[in-house]
Parts: sequence; structure tokens; C-alpha cells
Amino acid sequence: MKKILLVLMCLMMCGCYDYKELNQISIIGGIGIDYDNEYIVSLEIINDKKTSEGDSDSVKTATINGTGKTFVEAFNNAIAKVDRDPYFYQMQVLLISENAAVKGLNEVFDYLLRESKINNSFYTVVTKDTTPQEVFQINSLTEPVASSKIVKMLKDGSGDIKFNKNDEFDLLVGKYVKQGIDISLVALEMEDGEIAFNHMAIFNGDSLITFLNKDDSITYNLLTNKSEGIYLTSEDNVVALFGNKTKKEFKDGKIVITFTADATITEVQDNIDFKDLSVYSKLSQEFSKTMQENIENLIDHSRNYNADILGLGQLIYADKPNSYQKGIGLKVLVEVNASINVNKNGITFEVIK
Amino acid sequence: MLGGVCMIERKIKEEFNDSSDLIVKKIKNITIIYLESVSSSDKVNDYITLMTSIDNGKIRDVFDRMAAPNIKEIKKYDECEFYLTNGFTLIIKGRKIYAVETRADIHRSVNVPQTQQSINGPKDAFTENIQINLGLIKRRIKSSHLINEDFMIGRKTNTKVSLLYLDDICDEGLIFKIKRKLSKIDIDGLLDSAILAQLLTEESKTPFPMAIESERPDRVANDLLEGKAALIVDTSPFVIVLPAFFVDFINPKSDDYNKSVNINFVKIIRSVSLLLTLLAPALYVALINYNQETIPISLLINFSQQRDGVPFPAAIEAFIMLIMCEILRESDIRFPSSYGSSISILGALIMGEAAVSAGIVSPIMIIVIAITFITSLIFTEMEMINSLRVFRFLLLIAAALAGLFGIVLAGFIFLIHLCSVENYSMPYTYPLAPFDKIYAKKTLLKEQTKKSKYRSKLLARKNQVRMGGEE
Repeated sequence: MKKILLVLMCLMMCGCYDYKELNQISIIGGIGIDYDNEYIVSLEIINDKKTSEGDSDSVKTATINGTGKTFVEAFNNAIAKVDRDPYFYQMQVLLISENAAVKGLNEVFDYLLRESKINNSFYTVVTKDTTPQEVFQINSLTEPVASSKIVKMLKDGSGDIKFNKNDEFDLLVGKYVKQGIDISLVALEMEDGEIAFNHMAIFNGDSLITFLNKDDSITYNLLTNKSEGIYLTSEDNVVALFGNKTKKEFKDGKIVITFTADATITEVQDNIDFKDLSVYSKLSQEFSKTMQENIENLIDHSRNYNADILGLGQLIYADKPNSYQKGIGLKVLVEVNASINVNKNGITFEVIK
Repeated sequence: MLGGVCMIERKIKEEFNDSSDLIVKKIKNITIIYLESVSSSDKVNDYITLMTSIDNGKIRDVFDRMAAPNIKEIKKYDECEFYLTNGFTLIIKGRKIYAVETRADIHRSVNVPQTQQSINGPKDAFTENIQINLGLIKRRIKSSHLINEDFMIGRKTNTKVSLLYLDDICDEGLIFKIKRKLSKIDIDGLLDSAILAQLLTEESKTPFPMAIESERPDRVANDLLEGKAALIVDTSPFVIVLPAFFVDFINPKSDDYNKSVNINFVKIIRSVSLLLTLLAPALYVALINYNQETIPISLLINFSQQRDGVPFPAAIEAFIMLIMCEILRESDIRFPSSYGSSISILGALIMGEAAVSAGIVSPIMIIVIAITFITSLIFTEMEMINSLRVFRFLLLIAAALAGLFGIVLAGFIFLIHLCSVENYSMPYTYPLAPFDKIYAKKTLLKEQTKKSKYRSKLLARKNQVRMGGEE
């Protein structure tokens, strides 16, 4: 009896803590942040009402906006307009507009990390030349929830630019506060009413500096992701890269970046005889050189904006903390070794002439 | 000392209050007394009346030539009542009383099992006759080591109870405890073996069944060989096997007739079903009301749409549906089978279709309840299904109050309770805790028959080898 009483007390005293009935909550798919003299926070609310008989499968979303001088004020103004209890645990994406990103991320990241009703496993994306409200309002046939669509495209899609494993919010903040590395986020654009990803937004400290061009963005993704089937073009030939591996180490006062990958030929313009094995080594050399140039370009371009997105300073900090100074990652000597092994020719030996 | 013919006759008549089925017949100087209801008049006629009417000689000679198989001389008057009620015919001549067995066959023939069916294995089942039941077991174990001891239980019913065990395998301590408990029973009537099982085990301590009640002779024989003891009660088609453990009720013994690889798949599914039938509604309520973050978003939106417009909280919804299903099941059992289908159709229509379209319950709840009930019906033992229901409701209440945390708490209550139960000083959770590989491979899983060489350590301490080695 005492045992039962004890257990009953345990159950009763916590008094249904955290109890939420499913039809009393509003599931929030994503949060958008814009800045135009004041913060504008938009929430993508997933509408779960049955629309009509036999049409219960269609999901509709609504966007609610709130404005305020600070991010928190704008956020609270937005959730005050939601009629049910807003539920953030299923939140998938945080969209930050270009203006808000230039304004700085500190305030936003601090609040989102501190607030207990928001989970830490969403992804952060910067919107280029568009606002989060517009993005939330696009209506796709296959995925009615815009936030889910963005995450699906960047996680499972076949685009060149994708999330890497450090892009979940808690890991991103970890990277954000680390010494000797600057964060970079995927940039979202609207092309004819459809979402597209062509650039990476690079940050210096807490604010956005610029967007990388498409080639550099793809090179950055190759260096940080295990993305498969990304196309590399050299003069007239195109190959698809597989099994890419990147090794970065600090050795003898310089950084050595080693990039290796296998490649499959996808398009050749010249009359190449694939039965001749020397063709492969020739192509390998050609593409290795191209890749090496690409990586060097990426480093040069990001250094022009004082952003150490590859975390070169962090490598030095991890190896020799005493010799680390702020900005050393922008000055250190870098040696790039790229080797691409073209070893597959697709499913035919012939070339259409 | 016995009195004269008239005196005995008068005494018996007084005792039975001139019961209408008491027949007293006088042929020459011999008096014949029998109870018409329990005796076969054909046998009385064949064995006694014919012989006595033809023969003019002394009574001694009559008995020498009588064709009846079972004749006993009664020394004490007190025994008369016992023999009469058991279908014997009393023959009184002078100062001597003889009892001749003329029992009527009031029993049905051996049938196929009704509740514990199996595709393969023997198809005979126990009946209400103790002699037939004993025979069904002894036909399977033809050994002088198979001991059966008879007890009479019930002040009014005088029901015969037979304790069976193999004296070279079974633990004497167990037999001693069973005998002591049997001798302590003082009840006016014993009408079924289930009542004896409740008297022999502690009914109040746990809702779980503490004795196997089987109608399959092959299962009882199997348990006897394993070192358990069986109790056959006259007038009951179920034989009790003691002691029983939790795992005995999960899988039927007829699994042994299948190949181990094939049947182990089924056995694992049954163990999963056990968890599902306990946890399904509780987990659903906990996830839907407390831990929505664990459900993938597309599924959550789906759940949310289905629950839209349902007036009750999920926990109340689950309670209503569970209780409705219990009512449906109960009515299905009680109602005559010829009407049974109409109940099922009505139940299925109301539960499934109408309740959902009326917006009283969500379709996903119907699925959860259906899973709960279908998985609970895998177990053949009714008592087991009912005891799992107790803990299913406990888990549901805990989940409704505290979510997944509550399920963990209630799960602990379940485990603590299960571990605290003892059956004849043997832990009820055997062979899981304490772990015994041998018995676990006979119940939870099946070993290859060739490799199953030993008996369990707990039940057959003195004789563990059952294959190979020395008997």
C-alpha cells in the first residue's frame, strides 16, 4: 500500500506537467526574421483543420508576422497573434533575411538558444533578394509546408549545395562561438516562384559580409560535405565527383589541404578513345589542376572579405594555441593538393561523333 | 459391528430420507440397495439380480461366480454411504455387506480441445471423468514412477482429486507442500479445478495466473516430464499443473511440434505482442499529449488532422474505446454463438465506421485499440489476458498523468510486482530472473530437439538429464 501511495504521489504531484492536447496546439514549421528599421518576425503555422470531407490530406499553411524594436519583442508580438498554443518543437528552419543577417546574429542566436520551448535541431538559411514572408507563402504541389520543402531539398535533394552535418542549430552555434572559424550559411533565392540555392552566405564574426559566387559555393560544399555526383567542368569536359575526401592539417608552419575524389566522365567534346588507358591519367591531371585552382580561388575570395570559412585559424589554434592570433587564418601559407582520379566512363566506351 | 439386514436397511433409508432414487429390492433372503441415478440398471441386472435369482446356494458361492469386476466387502457401516453415492450396489445378506460396482457412465466421449487448439499434435482433450483423464495421461507415460495419489475434497461433494507426479524427477518438497495445502482445504463443495487452483495458490497476491489449466493431455504429460505436478479433479475437463511461471502462459506447448527456426519467429512475435498489448494505448496517449516532438512532423500533422473536432482528450477517448471493446468482447463470449455474428457486425460498425464519421473518436485511436486487442488475443489463457488488462489500464492512467515519465514509473510497478510474486517458493519470473538458459529455451524460445538434453535446474534438481547420458 505504501509503495502504491508513493507512486501515486509521484504521478499526482507533477500535475500533468507539460500536458498539451494535440488539437490545442499550433505546429510552427519555421521562423523567419527580417529587418527593416525594426525586426519583423514571421511564423509559418501549419494548419491542421480538416478542410472538407474527403479532402483531409491537403495541408495548408498560414504566415503570421510581428514587429518590434528588438528580436524578442517582435517574436512575442508574433506569437501573441496565434490563437492556439504555439508549438516550436517541430520547427524545421530559421530563415534570416539579408538585412537581418547584416544587422547581426548575436541577439537572435542568444534568444533561440536560451528559450526552452524551442528545439535545437532546426537549420538556418539566409534569404537573398527575398523576404522570409515571401518564402513561406510559396505553394508547392509535392510539399505544402515551405519549411519542410527547404529542409528536404537541402538534406535529400540532388542539388550542388547542401547542408553539411554541422548545420543543425546547436552545432552551428558551437561553430559560431569557436575561435578561428567563421560561419557560412546556405543562401536561398527565388527563381520564377521556385526556391533555388546557388550561393553561400559568408559571415565575419556575427554579421553577413557577402555571398560567394556559384563556383566557390560548390567548391566549399565539396570541401565540407560528403556530397556525391557534383559536376566539375574543365574546358569542354565534365566529370561527376564521387567519394570525395578532404584532409586539412597544420604542418611546418603552413596549412596543407589535401582533396581526393574519384570521378566518372559525363560529357566529353573531343574524340577520345576510352579504350586507351592513358586518356584517364590525362583527364585526371587536367581535373586535378582545375580543382586545385578552384580551391585556391575559394581561399583567395573569402580572404578578400576577411572571412575564414574553412576554419584555418582553428587548425592552428588546435595545434599550437600559443602561436594563435586573431586573424592568423587569413594570413597563413596554404598548400593545396587536389587529386582527382578519373576512373569510370559511364556505361559506354563509345563517344557519339 | 454391523447389525441385521432390517436394521441396516432402515438406517440407510433414514439417512437418505427415502430419496426417490434409492431402490431397495428383496430377492429371497438377499437385500439389494442401489441409487438409480448413479448406477446403471443394466449392470445391476446383469451382475446381481440374475445371479441371485437363479442361484439357490450360499452367498459365498454367488460372489465367487459373479461376473462383476469390482466387488468389495464392507466392514464398517460408515462406508455404505460412500459406496452407494459412487454408484455401487450394496448386497446385504445376514450380517455381511458386499459392494458391487455398477457405476453408470455419465460422461461424454473424448473430444478435440475447444480452447487450446493446435494445428499439429494430438487432438484429444480431457473430459469430465477422472478415470478417462487419468487414462489419457497414463497412456502417454507408461512408467511405474508415475505416481497418482487420490484425495477426497468437499464435505458435501466428496470430489475425487488425483495428484500426479513422476517420483524420480519431481522435487519432494513441492509434492509435500501441495499435499499439505490439499489436506488443509475444508470446503463444502469442489466443482471445478479452477477453484482448487485458487485454493492451492495465493489468489489475492497477484492478478496473474498461478497454475496452468490445460485441457491437452500432451501438455500435461510434457509438464510432468519436466518435473511439475498435475492435479486432476473429477467433473472438470481442465487439469491443473503446478507450479506455473509467467513465461508458461506466453507460448503454447504445442510449439514443440514445429521446427525450431520456424517457430522461434512466431515466439518472438508473441513476446512483442505482449509488450504491444500492455503499452500500445499508453504510448499513444503519452506521445500525443506530452512528447509530440518525438513524432515526425508529417505524421504529427496527420494525427493532428485526424484528431481535429474530437471532443474528448486523447486519454478519455482511449478509456471509452477500451471499455467499449471489453463490453463487446464480454457480450461475444456470453451470447449464444448463433447470435454471435450479429454482435460482431454491430460492434464493428459502431466502433469503426460510425464513431469515426460522427467525430467522437479519431481513426488513429481505432487503430491503436485494434492493435491492443488483436495482440492480447494471441494468448490462450483467459486469465492472462485479463491480468494484462489490469496493467494496461495502470499504464494508461500513468501515461495520461505524466507522459513517458509516467509509463516508466508504471513499468517499474509492473516489474516490481512481477518480481515479488512467488509460486511454491519459486520465483514467478523464472527463467528470466533468476536466469536459466535451459528453461528459457523451452518456453520463450525453442531449442533444436536434439540439443534439448536437460531438464530445468529449479524443477528437477535430482534428475536433470532427459536425453543421452544415464536416466
